[in-house]
Amino acid sequence: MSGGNMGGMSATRRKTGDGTVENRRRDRGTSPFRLSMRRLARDRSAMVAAAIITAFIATALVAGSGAFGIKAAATEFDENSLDTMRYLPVGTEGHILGTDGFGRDVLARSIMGIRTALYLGYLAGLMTVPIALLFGAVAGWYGGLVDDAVTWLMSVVVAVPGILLIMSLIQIVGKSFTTMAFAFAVTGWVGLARVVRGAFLQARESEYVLAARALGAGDARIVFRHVLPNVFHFVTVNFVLQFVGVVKSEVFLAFVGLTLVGEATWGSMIDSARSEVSSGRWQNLIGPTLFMGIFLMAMTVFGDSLRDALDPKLKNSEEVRS
Amino acid sequence: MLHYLARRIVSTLPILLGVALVFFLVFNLVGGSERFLYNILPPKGRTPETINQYREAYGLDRPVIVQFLDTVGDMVTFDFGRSESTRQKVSYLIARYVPASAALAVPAFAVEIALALALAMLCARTRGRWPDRLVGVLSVAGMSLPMLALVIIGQRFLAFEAGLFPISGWTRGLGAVRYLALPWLLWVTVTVGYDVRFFRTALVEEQGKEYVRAALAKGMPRRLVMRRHVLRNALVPILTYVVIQVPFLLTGSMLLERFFSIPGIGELLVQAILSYDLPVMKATVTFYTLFFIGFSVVTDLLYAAVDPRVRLG
Repeated sequence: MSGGNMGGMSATRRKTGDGTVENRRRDRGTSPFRLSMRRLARDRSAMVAAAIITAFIATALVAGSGAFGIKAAATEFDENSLDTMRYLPVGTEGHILGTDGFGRDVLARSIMGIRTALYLGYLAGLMTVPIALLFGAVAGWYGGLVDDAVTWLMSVVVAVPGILLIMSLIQIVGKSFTTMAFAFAVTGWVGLARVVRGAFLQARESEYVLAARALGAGDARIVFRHVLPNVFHFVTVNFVLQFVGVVKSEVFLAFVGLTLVGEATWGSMIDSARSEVSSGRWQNLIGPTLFMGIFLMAMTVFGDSLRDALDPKLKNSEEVRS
Repeated sequence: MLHYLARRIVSTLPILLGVALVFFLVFNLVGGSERFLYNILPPKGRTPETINQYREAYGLDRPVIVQFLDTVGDMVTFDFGRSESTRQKVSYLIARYVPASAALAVPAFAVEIALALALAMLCARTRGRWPDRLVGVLSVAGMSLPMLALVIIGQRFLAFEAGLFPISGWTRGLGAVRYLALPWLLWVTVTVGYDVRFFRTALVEEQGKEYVRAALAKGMPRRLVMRRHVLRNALVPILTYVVIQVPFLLTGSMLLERFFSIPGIGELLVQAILSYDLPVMKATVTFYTLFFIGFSVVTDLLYAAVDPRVRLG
């Protein structure tokens, strides 16, 4: 996928007016985005994945509102009791996935773990996208010294191994989900910024930008109204991929003791399972692994399909790439 | 060629400078140095006087710019002093911990790449049919499961219950293979999924090109077409991808090193971060960075070697 195809988008749209008959028949009245969504809707695995993701999000929202006592079952325990051996095995009545040492329901905690994952993943994405767009767009659009500076910054960030920076930042700034998301954003923006920069470099020379300029549009209008929409699909796909990466990294951070203690996160649950499986207690491993595995599989499959559907190379084709 | 190399080496200097800056921002300005002082003093010794004394001793009372240049100097000369927790020389620690990391990462990575390539070729040949689909599903599953969970399961069943491997441990020398076998196996299992998917895409894309159809049409056997034409051409993206991954081998092995108590550089770094051992942190990050930059030069050279169209200018 290269940015070069992006510039062609409006060129094709222009061509439909005097284009071939076949082109006109296919294109009339349907925007490239609508065509993409139509392709996505015809992709069966993408739809299954989307259904799973929706179900996860809905469950997390319902549980987070306190309904059905899920939140209470996941977080509340008897603070006056010194008994930390209140484990119940998987399959206990009323506690399908058992309970942990504090007597908290593992299924409920796994469900609350979706909330943490969503929160972290979305927050990291929301922080990454503006950074990447800003740096990528400015570098590609203005070129020259600005471009040199941004390129230098990007190679510096890439040269420091991300996980080191993330760990150091969390250790120094303090453990909170916001810090974690910020650390992921600071280390994770370069990939997207590079693509955006490439797209802007090409757009600067393209005819549709020249046309907009000839009509009297200023820099800001051209950048926000004409060029930025053309990198939208990179942003979406990057968001999904980063989401998967963030959720997996949280487990690693939990393993080195850098996640939030007491919160229901998949990472901290799996990490506590580390010492529990040797006494045959599997509940803290089974619950979050199942939830995370299914959720991330759905995200990966959906991300793949989304990339195929939004790929401008396939813009006018009716077939779904296998 | 030599000219190119010289230029590349000079061009890494601003990047190193930038890394020093990032490092400096994180550790000195965000609050690292105060935490560092707090941490190296015993609880009873944390009086304002002693803290000031230590601040002077470590040069943390000097102007920010001087401290920054000092950090740069440390990085260039690779002299980071002694570890705060063990009092050993940092350069000695690095030299001592790197071999174990390499012993873990290099064989596992080599096996994993070979396996991924074989699986990807199988997928490309049976595209759309069941072997391709099965490998595809397994790859996504492998990518989605948390590595920590797989490592826990692997250790429990393969080492503890089946007794095939020692649970954890380390010796110097060749005996370490015994302790490395299970981490190798887990490494390959966890990472192979990503690479199969990437290699498959590269192969499938190459397979769809016109010259492949031409070769098949003139009667060349499919297997020969795959080996002589498709694989060779797909090697360009594959090789770049593989070399780009090499620097991450060191960070990728952190979890395994810590879990199986392998004394590698990842374990050294995690320890340093958790105990605010600033000299060791600086040294390991510099080491990683140099390794990374060095490999990006190697990538360019290899790229030129594989693809005759690329000229080093």
